[in-house]
Amino acid sequence: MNEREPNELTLVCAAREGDKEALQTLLKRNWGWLRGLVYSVLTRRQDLDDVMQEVCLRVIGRIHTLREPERFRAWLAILAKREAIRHWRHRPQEVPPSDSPGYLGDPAEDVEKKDLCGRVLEAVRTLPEKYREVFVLAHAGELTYAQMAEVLDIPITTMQIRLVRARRMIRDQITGKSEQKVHEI
Amino acid sequence: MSAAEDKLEILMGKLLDGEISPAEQRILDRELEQDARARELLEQLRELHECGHEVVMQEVRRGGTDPEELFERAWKQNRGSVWQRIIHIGGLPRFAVGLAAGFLLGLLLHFVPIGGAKPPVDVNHGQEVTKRIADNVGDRDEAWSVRPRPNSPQVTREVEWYGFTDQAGDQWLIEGFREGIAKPASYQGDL
Repeated sequence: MNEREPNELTLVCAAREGDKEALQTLLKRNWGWLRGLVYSVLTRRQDLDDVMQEVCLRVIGRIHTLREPERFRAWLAILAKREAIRHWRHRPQEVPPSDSPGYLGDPAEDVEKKDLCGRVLEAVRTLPEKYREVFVLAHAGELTYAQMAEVLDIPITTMQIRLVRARRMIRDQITGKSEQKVHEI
Repeated sequence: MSAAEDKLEILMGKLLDGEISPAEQRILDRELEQDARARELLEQLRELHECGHEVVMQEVRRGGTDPEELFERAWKQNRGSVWQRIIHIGGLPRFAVGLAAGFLLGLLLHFVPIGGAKPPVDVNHGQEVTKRIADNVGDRDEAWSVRPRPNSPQVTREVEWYGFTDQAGDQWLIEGFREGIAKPASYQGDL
């Protein structure tokens, strides 16, 4: 990931000058975790494309205002989260259960694993947002811990503790343990 | 949960996420050797990690519109906005537009009178000033007979009147134009 840093900086600088290709490449590279971050706010994938298009629109319209190219990811994350929150506030209060399907999985997967994954999905959806976003970013498998901390604009130790707690809350919910009080950090 | 348990889970998380360092790996291995509960916990976390990955892939990564397509749509939408096109003007053209706008604004401010900015003009103002000076002089009232103005009463001239005493003690009544031009209005040699 570090090898591509200078390249990403160059792309950001070019994108600020209105280079369409550079901006498109940047967004494509960061697409996975960005979708994950938006999902962690929305908790349903049905609206993801709409919000992602809005994010693209914002990025295109505001990239020239980015003052620190090395903080592009953090800037992108803030912009995406704002857009997701805005969308979330304006969505209908009552979401029909059919709009948020459970885990579908691979047909070849064994029933036991499918069931477990279904329960994990339910648990992820009920996590507090700050734990959910860490969990989703960590399992999207694109960012290192340091990059996750950068994206979320928190110290790396805070990020690690949040991830431990997110996993513990999910584990407790799956195994049916009573919810433990999670201290704010 | 104690801090030691937190630390152990952090190490296990790092192992599963591929972030563990050799030194941390040694510490974790030692714990796993000694503690059967730790081994059980690691197995649970490994299972959770696999499922978490599957779930996130399904919810976030799989399906959805192609990023390039979404970007193209957004790009067209953005380019369609007149305001955005104005914002995207850069460099010299932007400077030229700003300069022209400033010039026009300057012209506008120069030629268009602003209501209330002009002071009211009083045709009797000069005589009142003369009278005030005469009152101050006291016993020299007769000396301050003001000569009639050559202009007709209907004509308004923007002038100011001042009293002035020179070094010889002679008093002058000064008619001063607003433009800064001054000329003697009357002189009574015996003052």
